[in-house]
Amino acid sequence: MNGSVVLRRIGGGVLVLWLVSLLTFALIQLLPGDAAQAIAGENATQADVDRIRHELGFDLPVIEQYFRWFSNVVTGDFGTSLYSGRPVTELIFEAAPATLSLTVMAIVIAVLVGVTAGIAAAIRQGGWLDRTITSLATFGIAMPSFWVLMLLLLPFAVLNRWLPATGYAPMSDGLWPWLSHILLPATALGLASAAELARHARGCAADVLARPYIRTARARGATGAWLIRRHVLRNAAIPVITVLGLHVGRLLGGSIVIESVAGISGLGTLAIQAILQRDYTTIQGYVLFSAIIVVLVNLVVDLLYGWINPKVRA
Amino acid sequence: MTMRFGHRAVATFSAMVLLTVTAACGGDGTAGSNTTTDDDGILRWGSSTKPASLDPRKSATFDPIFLLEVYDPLIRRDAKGELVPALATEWKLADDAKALDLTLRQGVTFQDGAEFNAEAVKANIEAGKKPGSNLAASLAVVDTVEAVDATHVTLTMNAPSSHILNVLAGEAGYMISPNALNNADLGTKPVGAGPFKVTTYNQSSLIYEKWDGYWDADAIKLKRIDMTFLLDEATRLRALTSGQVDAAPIRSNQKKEAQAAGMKFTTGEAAFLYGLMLNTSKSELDKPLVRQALVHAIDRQAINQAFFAGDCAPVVQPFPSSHWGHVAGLEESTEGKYDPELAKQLLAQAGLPNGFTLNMYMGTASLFQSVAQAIQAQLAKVGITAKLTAMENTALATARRKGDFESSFASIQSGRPDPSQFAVDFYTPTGVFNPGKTRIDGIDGPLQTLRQSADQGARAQAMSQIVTTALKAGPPMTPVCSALVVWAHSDKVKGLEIAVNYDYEFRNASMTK
Repeated sequence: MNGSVVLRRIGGGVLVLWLVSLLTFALIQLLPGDAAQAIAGENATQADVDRIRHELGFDLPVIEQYFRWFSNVVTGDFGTSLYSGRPVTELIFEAAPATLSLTVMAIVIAVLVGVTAGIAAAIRQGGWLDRTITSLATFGIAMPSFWVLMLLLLPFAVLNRWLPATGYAPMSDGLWPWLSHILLPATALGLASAAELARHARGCAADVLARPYIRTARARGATGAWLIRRHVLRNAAIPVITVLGLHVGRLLGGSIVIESVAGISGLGTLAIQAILQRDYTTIQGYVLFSAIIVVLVNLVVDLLYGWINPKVRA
Repeated sequence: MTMRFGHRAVATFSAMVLLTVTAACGGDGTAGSNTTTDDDGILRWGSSTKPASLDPRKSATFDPIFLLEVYDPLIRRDAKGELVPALATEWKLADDAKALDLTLRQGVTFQDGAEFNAEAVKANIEAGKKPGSNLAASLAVVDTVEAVDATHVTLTMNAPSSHILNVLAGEAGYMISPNALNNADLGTKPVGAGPFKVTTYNQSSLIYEKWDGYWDADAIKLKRIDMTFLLDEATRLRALTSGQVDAAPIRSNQKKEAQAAGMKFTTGEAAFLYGLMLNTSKSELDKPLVRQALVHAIDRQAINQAFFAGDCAPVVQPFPSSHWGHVAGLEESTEGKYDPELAKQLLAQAGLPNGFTLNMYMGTASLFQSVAQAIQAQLAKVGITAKLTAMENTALATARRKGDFESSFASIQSGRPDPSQFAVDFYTPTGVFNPGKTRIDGIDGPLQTLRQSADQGARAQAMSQIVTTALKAGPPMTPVCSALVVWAHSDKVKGLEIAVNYDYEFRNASMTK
C-alpha cells in the first residue's frame, strides 16, 4: 500500500475523531441536569448550583465552551475531571490497562476458540461435530456476556477458589496474577465474538476445502494439517480480521458490564460514573480515547488486509 | 479426513466435570477460630460507594466512612450517637446557646507535623465557612472564632445554636492541618490528625496505613485498612464469599447466601429511612387530609417483609427506634397506623371521594423501582393513581431542587449534621426539601428548644413534639421504613460497629490470627 493511501486513511480517521467529539459534546448538552448539580450534592440550593456553574464556565455560550475544550485538546490538555479535579489523562491512563488487557485477551480467546472451532466444523461438514459447533455458536451469540461470567465465576472462583472472583492485577504483579484475574472476564467477553468468528471461519474453510486445487493437492499426498495451514488459514484470515476490527468497538463498550460484574475499575466503570455525574471533561476524554483506538485498529486492519491478500492492494 | 475424539480427551473432560462437582460439594473446612489479636492486622473492606472527596469541605453525605480514618473530629460521636471527647476534651455552651467554649487536647500533631492548637481550629472553621465549602451552610451560624490561648477556643454564634455540638462532631469538626487547608489536591491527599494515613488512592482502591504519630495510637489495633470499591452488590458479595475481602456491607436479602458461605453479621440501625418526599404545592398535596391519607394507605409491614427480609422497621417518623428522636408507639397510633379504609374516608372528607392522580419519581436502582411499584399498588387500593417514572440521580436531584416533581420515593438521611436540621429542611417554610413552603403549626417552639438547649433530655422531648405534630398535621414527607444496616464479615474480624449517625470508624476493629 503506498503512502498517499495511508495518509488519506489517517486524514479520514482524524475527521472521524473530530465529528465524534462534536457529537458527544452536543449529546451531553441535551442531558437534563449538569455537573454543577452533581458536584453541589443533594442538599444544595439554587444559589450553590449557580455559583458552581459559573466557576465551571457553564454560563458561557455553548459554542464557546466547545472551542475552549477543543483548543486545549489539540495541545494535549484534556482538562481535569469536573468531579474529582484529577487530570483526565491521568484517570484514563490509570483505568486503561485493565480494559485493554480485558479486550486484548478477549480477542485472543475469540480467535483461538472461534477459528479452531470453525475450522474443525468445516473439516467434516454435516457431521455431528459440525452441528454441535454451529448450535453452540448460535447459543454463544445469544447469551449475554455478564450472565456467562456469573456462570463461570460460580465453580471457578466462589465454590472453589481457583481463580479470583473480582479485581484486576497489573502485569507488574506477575504474569499468573494478571492472567488469573483476567481469564474468566475475558472469556465471557470474547464468547460472542468467538461464536461469530467460528461461523465465519467455518464458512470460509468449507469454501476453500471444496476447491479443485485442494483435491489436486490431496492427490499429490498433502495431509490435512498442511492443507489447513497453507490454504485454509490464509483465506480464513481475511474475514476473521475484518470481523475482529469491527468487534473491537463492541468489545470496548461491552467491557462496561463485565467490569461491573468482575469488580474491575477500568474505562467502562470510569465512563459510567462520568456520565452519571455529568463529568463532561472525563466523558469527552473517554470517548476520544476509545475513538482513537477504534480508528487505529481499523486502519491496521485495512493495511493488514492488503498485506494478506494481494488482490485487494490499492 | 476424519476427526475423532481420542480416549484421552474424553477422560480429561470427564475428570474435570467430576472434579468440579465433587469440589463444590466438599465445602470449606473451617478450623475453630482463634481469638488472639493479630497486631499486624489488615482489614480488607469491600466498599459499596466511592468518596466524592477526601476533603471534608467537599465530601458527600455518606463519606465519613472514608474520612474518619484520616481526620479526628473536635467532638466524637460514638456508635450510639452520644458525644465524647476527641480533639476537644471539654466544651461548654453558654446559657443563651450563643457562645461555645472548647478546651483542646494537648500534645497533638497533624500528619504533616503541624501543631494542633487553637489557631488551627480557627483556621479550619473559617475555611469551612468560605463559599465553595459544603460546610458553609451549617457553619453560617458561627460569627467569630477566637483563639483565647493555645488550648482554648471560643465560638460566637448569631443565633441560639446548641446543635453546633453535633455540627462539630461531623465534617465541620474534622480538623485539617492548617498547612494543608489550601492544598489543591487535598481531595485525594488528605492531611488530618487521625489514626491512619492514606497511602494509595486510585479508581479501584483506597489504602490506609496506621500512623504512629497519632495521639491515641495504642488504642488502634489495625495496621492497615485496604478498601476495594465494589459498587455492584452481587459482585461485592462474591468478593466476600470467595475470601477476597474480609468485610463488606450487604443487603438484607443477601444474608442467606452470605450465611451459607460462613459469614457472620454485624447489624445496626441508622438515622436513614425510605420515604415519599412530597411537593406540597403540587397535585392535591397541599391538603393535610390528603397527606394523612397517604400515611394510612401504606402497608409498611408488607413492604418490609417483601423487599427487606424483615430488616426495614416500619416508621411514620424520621428516626429509628434506638435514636433519641424516636417516639415509641407512633406507628400503632390512630395517626400512624395502616388503615386503607380510614385513608379513603380522609380523602372523601378532603373532597376527593374518587381519589386523584399523583406523579412519583424514583431512582433507577431496582430496589427503588420495586418498592415504588408496591406503593403504587397500595395507593391504588384507596383510589390514588400513582404514575411512576424512574430517573437517574443527577436528573432526579435537579428536578427536586427545582420543585419539578409531585412526589419522589427516595432514601432520606435524617441525622446529619444534627437531627434538628431535618426538621428545618422538611418542616419549615424555607426548608431545602420543602418546595411547597408548607408551614406546620406548633413546630417553631420545639425547634427553638432544639437549638437553644444542650440538655439531651430537653432536646429529646422537643424532637418528639416536632415528630408527633408533623404526623398529626399530615407530614410533608411520608415515611415508609428505616432499614437495618448489615455488614457481613469473616469470623476473623472483630469490633465492627455500626454508628447510628454514619460516623463509621474502624477504631475498635481488629483482626484475629
